[in-house]
Amino acid sequence: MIATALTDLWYGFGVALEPHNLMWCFIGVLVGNMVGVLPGMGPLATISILLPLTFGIPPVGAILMLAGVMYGAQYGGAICSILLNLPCHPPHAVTCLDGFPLTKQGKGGVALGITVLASFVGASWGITEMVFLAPVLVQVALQFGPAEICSLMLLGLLAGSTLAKGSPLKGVAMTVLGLMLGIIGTDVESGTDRFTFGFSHLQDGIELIALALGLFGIAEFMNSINQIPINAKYTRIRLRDMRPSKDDLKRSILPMLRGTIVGSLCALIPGTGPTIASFVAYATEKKVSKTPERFGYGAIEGVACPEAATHSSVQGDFIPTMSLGIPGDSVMALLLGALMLQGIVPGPQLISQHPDIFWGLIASFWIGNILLVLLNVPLIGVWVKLLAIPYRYLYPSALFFVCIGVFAANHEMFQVGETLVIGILGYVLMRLGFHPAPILLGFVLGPRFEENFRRAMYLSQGDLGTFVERPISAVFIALCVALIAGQMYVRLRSSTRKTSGSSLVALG
Amino acid sequence: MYVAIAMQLQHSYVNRSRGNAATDPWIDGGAQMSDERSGGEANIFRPAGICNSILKFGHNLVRKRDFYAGGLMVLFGLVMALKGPSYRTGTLMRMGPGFMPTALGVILVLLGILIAASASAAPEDESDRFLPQHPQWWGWACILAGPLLFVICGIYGGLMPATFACVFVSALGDRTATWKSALALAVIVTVVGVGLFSYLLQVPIPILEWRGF
Repeated sequence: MIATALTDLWYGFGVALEPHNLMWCFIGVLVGNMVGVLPGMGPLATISILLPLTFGIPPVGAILMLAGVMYGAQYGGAICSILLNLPCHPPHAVTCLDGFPLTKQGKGGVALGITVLASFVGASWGITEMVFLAPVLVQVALQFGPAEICSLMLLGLLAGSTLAKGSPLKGVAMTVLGLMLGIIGTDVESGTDRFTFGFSHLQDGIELIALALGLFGIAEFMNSINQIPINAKYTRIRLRDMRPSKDDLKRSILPMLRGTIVGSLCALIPGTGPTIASFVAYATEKKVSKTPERFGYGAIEGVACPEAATHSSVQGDFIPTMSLGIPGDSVMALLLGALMLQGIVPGPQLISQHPDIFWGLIASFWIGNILLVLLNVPLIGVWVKLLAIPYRYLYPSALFFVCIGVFAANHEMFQVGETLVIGILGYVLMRLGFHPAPILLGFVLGPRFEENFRRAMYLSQGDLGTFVERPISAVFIALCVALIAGQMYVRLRSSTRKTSGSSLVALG
Repeated sequence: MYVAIAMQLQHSYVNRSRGNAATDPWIDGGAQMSDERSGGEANIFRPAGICNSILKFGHNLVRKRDFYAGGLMVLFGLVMALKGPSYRTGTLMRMGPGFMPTALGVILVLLGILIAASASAAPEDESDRFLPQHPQWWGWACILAGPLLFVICGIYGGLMPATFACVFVSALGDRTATWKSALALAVIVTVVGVGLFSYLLQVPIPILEWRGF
């Protein structure tokens, strides 16, 4: 068992170390880091903007490059949050808490150094977990029929939308909206055009890139125009500032390991992505620490722990994404969608049908992480300079990349218009208190959910009971119910808390 | 328990991202909240409380952002649920193409109603307004005009005018931007963009070509 995993991994390194694949990985990390560091560009925006660059590349190279982009974008985002106190990605909100005070004390470089180290530790553990767990999971998943796949997807969708951010009710609404957007286009089974409103361009459905760039590009620019304060005061960091002192290292090594464990545990629960992992890790670290009062005022542990947790949980999230085809959060959904654009259907068959992609990807994770460390140490000065680029130069250029990127996908101007409409919708939804990220999750899973639901119903002669009669499926459904019940309990309790709080204020 | 922690933390994140807390006592905030909890639970069951909440219900409903949020969802759901059956729903065993849209539409309508109803329960929050504190009409218009001009100029003129128009107009949206800075940026992006996408990545679009109306 272990021996096979190691042989496969060896094969994967062979694939990932082929010169052209290595080159794509390198370009991915470099460009991802460069774009990710720009203020206002979170990993979602970065990946979607860079997605069109991978179209001409063969599938293996493309996915290696995208994984590289993801790493680079995440680390770039960490730089932006630590030095500017500007988190563009929810998990980084925690890094800011202690990262920015450290910057104010002139120790921003050290925080960045520790971040590189923590992300490497976290990711390495996550990758190891993936090497050994994914094949096991695939063995189990191969036994799944359409009913099981359906209930598992339901669980993934529910968890991804309710645990993500903000009100769970709104999260579910966004997922359903995503599922609906996935329906637009020609129905595969019957050939009926659904909700195309007479546009022949909509027959192939909404383009993933148009959706992603509308929601995370145009809507995001509308949200941040004239709102991003650039404070370039702390952006003078040189290489030698990054080296942590012995004391810093000693203090952050245990938090790093604890964060890694929290992250990998969170990855095992479907739907709990890096955001929750980083919050939980920070809270635990504060509880465990002998000097909790230092947290929030520049404790290096407060940077090391959540960063390790984020990266280990991101790696862990790849396990269900790759082996079951069910993404844990919107970043994974985007990568999954990118794979589908390359004509590869992720799922239990992926490992046997495309071992080069699966094992190459795992090997490239390590290579990508090492490249990230190697790139960031000498180039930190350059990244830091990028931080000082004013937003007024940034968003118009990004807008152009959005337009040409969507156009390059299918060579159709119609889809640029599509992006614009989705962007407006996305901004309206944002202003109404929705978080648009789960839309992507629903959109990517929608067609497969419908297909499997149909098949399950056909096999069970139209009996909905099949979902609870089959034991594995019943477990997933039970988990769904538990999830909803848990959310309702928490919600009711917190609302009574709020009313009691406000009535206390009123009485006082 | 786990979910409870996560929810609490998420809540604080949301507050944080609105910029209420610059230096953060946010995790402590959660702890204080749980201390206050013991006293007030009986309050909501007092008759006066119920009367008040009924009176406030209608008044609050219209002012709350979540009311519109729920309304929008109901609207989307209705479109789906009413149009869905026209694609033939079929039976559960042999589903037609209209089954899924109709079902999803109904679910979304229900969710929308729940969201709108929960709007009246939540306390008023100043940051919950639909329009942000400083609406950026000019900025938004410029951002939206960018891609629109890209489409129009791209169809009639080619990549170069499309890029230039898109970048120039959207750059004007920033408060600190001037005609000159927007012009300079547009020229640079046009040169780089045409070089990268037309020559290097071979995107099939003419660089400059008048196709007439």
